[in-house]
Amino acid sequence: MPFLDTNIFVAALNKRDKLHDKGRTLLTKAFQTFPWLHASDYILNECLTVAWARTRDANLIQQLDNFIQGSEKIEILKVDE
Amino acid sequence: MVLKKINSSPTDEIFRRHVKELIDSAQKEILVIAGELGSYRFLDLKWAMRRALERGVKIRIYASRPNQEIINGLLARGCQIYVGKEIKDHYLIADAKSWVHSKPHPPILGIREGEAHINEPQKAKKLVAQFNQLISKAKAKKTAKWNQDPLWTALQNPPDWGVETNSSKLEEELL
Repeated sequence: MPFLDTNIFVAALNKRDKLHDKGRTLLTKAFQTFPWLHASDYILNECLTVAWARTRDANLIQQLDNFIQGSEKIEILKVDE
Repeated sequence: MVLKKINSSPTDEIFRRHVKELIDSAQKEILVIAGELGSYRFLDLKWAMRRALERGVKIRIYASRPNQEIINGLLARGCQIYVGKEIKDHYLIADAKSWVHSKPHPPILGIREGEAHINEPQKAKKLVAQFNQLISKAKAKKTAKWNQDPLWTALQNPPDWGVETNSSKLEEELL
């Protein structure tokens, strides 16, 4: 089962990312192909941190959080201490 | 028999702790009577439900207004979901002997109150009967609709952050 790193989320979910088309295509294909996609709470955190560091846009952060954490396709795994 | 009053807390964390403990204690079956299933959005409860499914616990849910994106994940993991008329008092019942009761409240985070009843099989039987009565008149949800998932929706029309990023060099993005 694929494990999604931060860069695929940033690429797919920012129209202005340098690898947007590639990231969007890959994530779309993964969504359609696999029953579940895995990420971790750290990955979610890092994705939101990148977005916040670059934009300071709280609405965007909320939107991205809903896209990732609100998706039932993504299994967010808890990183052990 | 144990009865614990659940007082309100800013993000319903006391309520969620009781629910999580009850889910983690379940060995055979969990029954849920709810509205939107909004609490399932909290990762602590979502993870507890997944742990229960992994150890073979059967989960059946009655809800009045469940969100499709939540239904998708629950159906795909083997839960049974029924949709029917609104019920004001909400319950999670574990193994037909213990339950958490969420009292009616406006849809605002932090005001939820209720009770946790541990090991009261006689009273739990009545709730199980109520659940069975409700699902007998409810509509079973059978199909996940992944085109209503938030990530899928985002992929159809990705946001514009207003700034360029380079996802191949994220360490530089964080400087």
